[in-house]
Amino acid sequence: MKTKNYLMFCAGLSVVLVVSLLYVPSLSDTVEQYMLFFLSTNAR
Amino acid sequence: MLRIILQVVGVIVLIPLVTIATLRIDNQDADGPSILFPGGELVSGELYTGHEPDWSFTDDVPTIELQLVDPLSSRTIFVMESDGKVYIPSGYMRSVLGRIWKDWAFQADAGDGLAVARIKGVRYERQLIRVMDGEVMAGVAAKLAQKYSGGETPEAVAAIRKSVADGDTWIFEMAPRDGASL
Repeated sequence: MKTKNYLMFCAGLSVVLVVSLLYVPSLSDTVEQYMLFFLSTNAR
Repeated sequence: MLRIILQVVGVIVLIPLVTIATLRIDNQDADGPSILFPGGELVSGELYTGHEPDWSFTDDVPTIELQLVDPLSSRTIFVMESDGKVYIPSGYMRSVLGRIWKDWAFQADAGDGLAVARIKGVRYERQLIRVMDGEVMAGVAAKLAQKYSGGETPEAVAAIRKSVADGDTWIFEMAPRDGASL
């Protein structure tokens, strides 16, 4: 992928991700549960 | 080929970075923490005044919200009652991730420890005092094992006491603030 297209793709992906986390019910909670599990397992 | 690999790696790195930044920023000024990310000042809920409550009600409370006064941030943590006093733990204190994740414990220990805890919607003004006394630790470790480690077995209690002795787990008493009624 050309650099310009790649950067546009990354920007678009970021926007979709941010909007999903902020406005999709329970998505942020689910993500945080997984992150908590990861930390609990690996923070040793 | 290398270009494609780097682009894929870039996307893989981007996703968690954007996720963490979004959740962190979204919660930083909220009235209380989320599951993992710190929140802002605890402002809602009745502010408890009067005699020291019977903390045994926390036996049925899995987590509480704790806010430090300085620096001002809040997080979700475990709670244990033992011998009429209430305590909070902070684990993973000697790991690299733990030092980042549990920064509040280092701040509380280094600072004045002033805090506000919100339990079942009621706020309590407290002071965090790190505890390392062996006699006190026996009861606290037992309650910690009972509530959060699957049961008060000798092995679980011993593991917790070792974790505290090694510095991996810190225990703070949520004591009344200086001059507060007893």
